[in-house]
Amino acid sequence: MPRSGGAVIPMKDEVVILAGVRQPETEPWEPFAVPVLDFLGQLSREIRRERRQNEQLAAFGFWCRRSHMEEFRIRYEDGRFRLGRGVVFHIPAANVPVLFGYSLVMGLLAGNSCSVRISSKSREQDQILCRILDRILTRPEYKGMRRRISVFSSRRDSLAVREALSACAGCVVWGGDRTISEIRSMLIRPDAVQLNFPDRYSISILDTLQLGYMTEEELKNLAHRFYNDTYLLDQNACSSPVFVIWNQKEESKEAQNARERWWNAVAEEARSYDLTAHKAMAKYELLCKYAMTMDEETKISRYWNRLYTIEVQGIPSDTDQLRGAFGMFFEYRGDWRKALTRLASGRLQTIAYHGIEEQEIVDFVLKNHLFGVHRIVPAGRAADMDPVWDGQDFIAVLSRQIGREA
Amino acid sequence: MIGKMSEEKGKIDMDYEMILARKPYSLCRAEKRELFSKWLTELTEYHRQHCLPYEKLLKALEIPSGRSMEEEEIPMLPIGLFKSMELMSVPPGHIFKTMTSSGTKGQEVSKVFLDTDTARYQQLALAGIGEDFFGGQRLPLLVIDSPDVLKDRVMFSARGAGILGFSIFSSHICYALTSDMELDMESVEEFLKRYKDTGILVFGFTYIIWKYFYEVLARQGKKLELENAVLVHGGGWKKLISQSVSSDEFKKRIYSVTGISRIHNYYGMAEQTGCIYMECQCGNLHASVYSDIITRRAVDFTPCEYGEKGIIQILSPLPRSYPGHSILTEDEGIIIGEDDCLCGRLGKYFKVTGRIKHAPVRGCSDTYEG
Repeated sequence: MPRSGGAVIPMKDEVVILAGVRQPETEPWEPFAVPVLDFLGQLSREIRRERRQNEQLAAFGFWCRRSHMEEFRIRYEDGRFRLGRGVVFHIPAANVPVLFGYSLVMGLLAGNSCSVRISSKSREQDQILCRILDRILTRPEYKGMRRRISVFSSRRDSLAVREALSACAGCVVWGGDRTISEIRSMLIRPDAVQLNFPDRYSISILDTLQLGYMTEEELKNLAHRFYNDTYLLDQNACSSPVFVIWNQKEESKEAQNARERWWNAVAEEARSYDLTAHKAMAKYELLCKYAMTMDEETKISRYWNRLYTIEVQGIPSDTDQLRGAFGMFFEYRGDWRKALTRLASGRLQTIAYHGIEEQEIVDFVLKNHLFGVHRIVPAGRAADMDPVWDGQDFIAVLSRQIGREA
Repeated sequence: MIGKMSEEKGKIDMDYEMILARKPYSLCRAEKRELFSKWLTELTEYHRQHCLPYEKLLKALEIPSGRSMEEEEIPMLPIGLFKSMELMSVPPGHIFKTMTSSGTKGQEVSKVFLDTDTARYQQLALAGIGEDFFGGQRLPLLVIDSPDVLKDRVMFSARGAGILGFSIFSSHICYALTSDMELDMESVEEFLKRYKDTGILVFGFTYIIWKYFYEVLARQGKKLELENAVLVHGGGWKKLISQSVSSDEFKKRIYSVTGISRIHNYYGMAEQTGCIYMECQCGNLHASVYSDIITRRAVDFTPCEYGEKGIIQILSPLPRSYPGHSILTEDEGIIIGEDDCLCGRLGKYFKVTGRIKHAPVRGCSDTYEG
């Protein structure tokens, strides 16, 4: 089997092992096992030491630090008994840098061995992460962990993918609806569990007056975090807000100023965004298309090409279909509850809020039996990975609980 | 005012006769700017009133009605919209032909809706440009393509449109390729025998000329007697660049199998047929009085300086049956100067550097690739 750290385009059934072993062992461990936490702690240290310049990789390194993993562990200290399931197979989205890392960590934390298929088109940060993983795993003290990890690249239609799917005790599929349907049509063990992350969209609820009260410094910070939620993934991640609801009772000069101040702050942050000619064109085309085809009356604001907003008077009926891209937002002003009722289809994943109480949103979702809203997080935290993601609990699904009489 | 104009249809047509009566490279910068600002402002109003989606866009962009705009201020439609939408400014019953862009298989193609007036304007513009380059007399035309391209007269591809467009310069037409895209040596040689002393116009798409004409002749070691001919070719370099064929290389190789030394590339597209940008003997593409070009920066779409690479916008007063008078293309280019090309033609002259490069986009969907 060829081994390589670089990007190789594999032949039909060729498999390139990027980190760990070809065939991980199947033995289940208890969740949050000490060797796993030790290994992740080491991984975190080495990434943070070497890779501060790779933004997303550095964020991943910080995320998997020991103390953070311990926080997760404590959440599951509920006196119940759990064990992993065996080998969990991961198929992460190729276009989200280091997503495979997060998925792998979740599988390991739940007490499983993990095999991960990454795209041969995977990018620089993924390849660096593979090299660091493999380097740590070849050390004698991580021999036990090495047996539990396999990161490989192969073609999507390769035998390796079909074999991994048919043998695994669980699989985690990230990506569009099409990918999930395709994987679902393949043979998989009857007792295998599946965690799927289909197409989603996300919104932001901002309280206009609250934003108006913020100091320049506070506003800049929030705008920066909002930028991270959106532009860093080309505003194309399922957790990236597409819609901004301005919570306000009535329109006033103050409200108008507060909104303008906000968008100017976001546009300022977006200076660092790499807006290529292709992105600028695609974004302008999308903007024009919405303006030309939406039933509602729209008002466009442009902050150079860095930021476009489309203000709508009413919430359109087909919000599922609305897409932002490269920094293009729909905005609506009015009562957030009214807007949310219209927006909360099953596809609505994250609400990133500022200036309203989280509990209020939770209560509203529960009381109104909404289909959507799978995450509620403060604005700027939309992309933070958590064991509970998109309404599903990684640890609970990827481990089994040993039931006993109460 | 505008409403009145559209009622007085004859008046508008007079304007067009005036536009089209001009020599194609006869306007200096100041005159052209003034006229284009006026024409394109009028046309923007016209399309606002006759094309509902266009009106919605202008409203959303808060472009006021009735204000005269400079050429640079005319709102631009991204070219991709002609693929995803059906945009027209005349009742569907007035459409006399629908032009499509020459997309490769599986790609969406642009649909451009022409009424008889717009089609005629575009043809006259092409005639004007052609006359400037190869004289007013009709010439025998050797088309490096298959006659089958013209079969469907209602849905019209850019390839067919190009051929039909150039056939207005022709006294006789010979198609060099068969239905199977084979070089029809017999017909070509007979055609050459009859016309080699009179001057011949050779026309085709760059890639087709290369693949089905040049490569075949080169492989067979044949040389045609076309020393008196002028070759005009267009349609883009994309496929040839991937084979590392430059413009100079192309000219050299064509010369080696045909003896043609007068070779003109042109830049143009289905979305603004007729007002093509011809390459002069200095190797520059020229904007005629029937259209204009602006290059824009990706960061804010402000116009580039001469010599600075940018996204190409094309403007023309001719598109009337569809709102295609100001289009942002997906090509990049460099405007070299205006009115002072050594060939003597007035107007902007420029180079096309290629298609905008597509970079991979981040995000969760469309994932399981490769």
